[in-house]
Amino acid sequence: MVTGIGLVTPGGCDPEVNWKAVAAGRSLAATDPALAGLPVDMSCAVRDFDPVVEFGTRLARRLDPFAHFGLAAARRAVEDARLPLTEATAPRVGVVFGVGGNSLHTYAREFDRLGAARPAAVSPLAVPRSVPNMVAGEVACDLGAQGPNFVVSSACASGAHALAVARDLLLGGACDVVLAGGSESGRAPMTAACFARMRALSTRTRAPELACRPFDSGRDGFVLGEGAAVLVLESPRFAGARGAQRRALLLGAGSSADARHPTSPHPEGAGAELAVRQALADAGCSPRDIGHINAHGTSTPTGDAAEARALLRLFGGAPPPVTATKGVLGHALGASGAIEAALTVLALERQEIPPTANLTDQDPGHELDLVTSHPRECAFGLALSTSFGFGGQNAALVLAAA
Amino acid sequence: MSELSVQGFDEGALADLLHEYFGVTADSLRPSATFDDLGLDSLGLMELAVALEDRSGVEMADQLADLTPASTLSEAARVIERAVTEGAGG
Repeated sequence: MVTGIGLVTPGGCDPEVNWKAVAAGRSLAATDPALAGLPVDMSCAVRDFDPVVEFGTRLARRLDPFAHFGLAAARRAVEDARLPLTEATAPRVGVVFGVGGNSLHTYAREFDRLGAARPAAVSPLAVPRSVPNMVAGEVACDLGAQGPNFVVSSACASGAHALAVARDLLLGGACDVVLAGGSESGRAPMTAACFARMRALSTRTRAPELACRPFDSGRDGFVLGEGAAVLVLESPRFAGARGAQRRALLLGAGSSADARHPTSPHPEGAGAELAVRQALADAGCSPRDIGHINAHGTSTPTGDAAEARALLRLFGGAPPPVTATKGVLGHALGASGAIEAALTVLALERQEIPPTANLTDQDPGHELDLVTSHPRECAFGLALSTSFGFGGQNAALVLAAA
Repeated sequence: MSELSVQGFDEGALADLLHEYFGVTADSLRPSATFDDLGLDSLGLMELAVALEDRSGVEMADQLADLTPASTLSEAARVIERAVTEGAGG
């Protein structure tokens, strides 16, 4: 049961403004002064968010941006769910985040100091600022959640895997509530330089707003994004007993590995297909029950092609309406699976599917029913969200209207 | 907050930093108060060292290593003043 949502993304810092941003279907990518001088100097940056205002000077300084986003999203999700964290409830409230990589914001400065042979100048706070698990730890410190607490990492599928693991914690009886989500800040110059060297990023830097174009024939890579999403997941019994609002159900989750190549997806999307099939089986439903797909759709040439092939096979050549919200928000890496799960909940609530940005010439090989230009009203009870990571790590979630 | 002056760092300057950055209430900032009294544990002392380094431009983690949560503000101010002065001169 999804009872609360917190979002901190380039679209803004609450679900309503995020919905408006994705419904508008315009990419939020822009030239990024923080990446000046790099071959790819554009990104989708979180906006309307000041960590000092949010946390005060001391906490703002102690945390890295990825933890700022994650903690802010967790606070908003708990507030949305009106979740009581008391001495009685706290031991059975877990926190599981998906984080794709180490924070390179924090380490950049420390590497410089070490490189200049000044080891005594390396910050004693670098480790607690930057280790990936710290976002879950800080959320627990801030909100008092005392249940299972850790981070899962599967690159760009991390956020979706966090929700899958949270579902297991609830079904297994270890928790009554899990704050599950993902957080990442990929706008560090080192991160941008690394992905650019891998040729994973779009190089359309003269027109950033046109750079991210999932499933379009002119796509040439993804655009770095950042942010966090947290969903409050509760067992139906706990949510029912406290009369919590019901926003959606996380009905099923599936995970798989391509078991083939470290960075390239299986060309036919075989691993992706396996994850979706497992999610459908877990949810107890068949492909024809799914009314909408929020695709991973990063705008890379090979990734989108593999995903399209997998979806066409899974849905007998006619998948339900698809959107790829990375077209608007960019790719928040380890956070993206959680952000997209949250957006899928919003789509279920509104019975509306947001458009894919910059999709003007659909790749002829992908006969998907992609929503373009304007949101599409549509009656659907179940939706699928897919996420695929480097390492061939795949996750799929089935969400249902409450 | 203004940059730390390398000259004349005293108990008052430390008290200001603890009030503004760490949110310690002004009336608890007595010279005999220990960091422990003020809610700063060993992680808090690391945060203090980083805040002092950022503001003064002087590396002083080694010089501050002797400070503990049991150190009083007046003891700490002397150690910090020495570190800032030596760092600026060196």
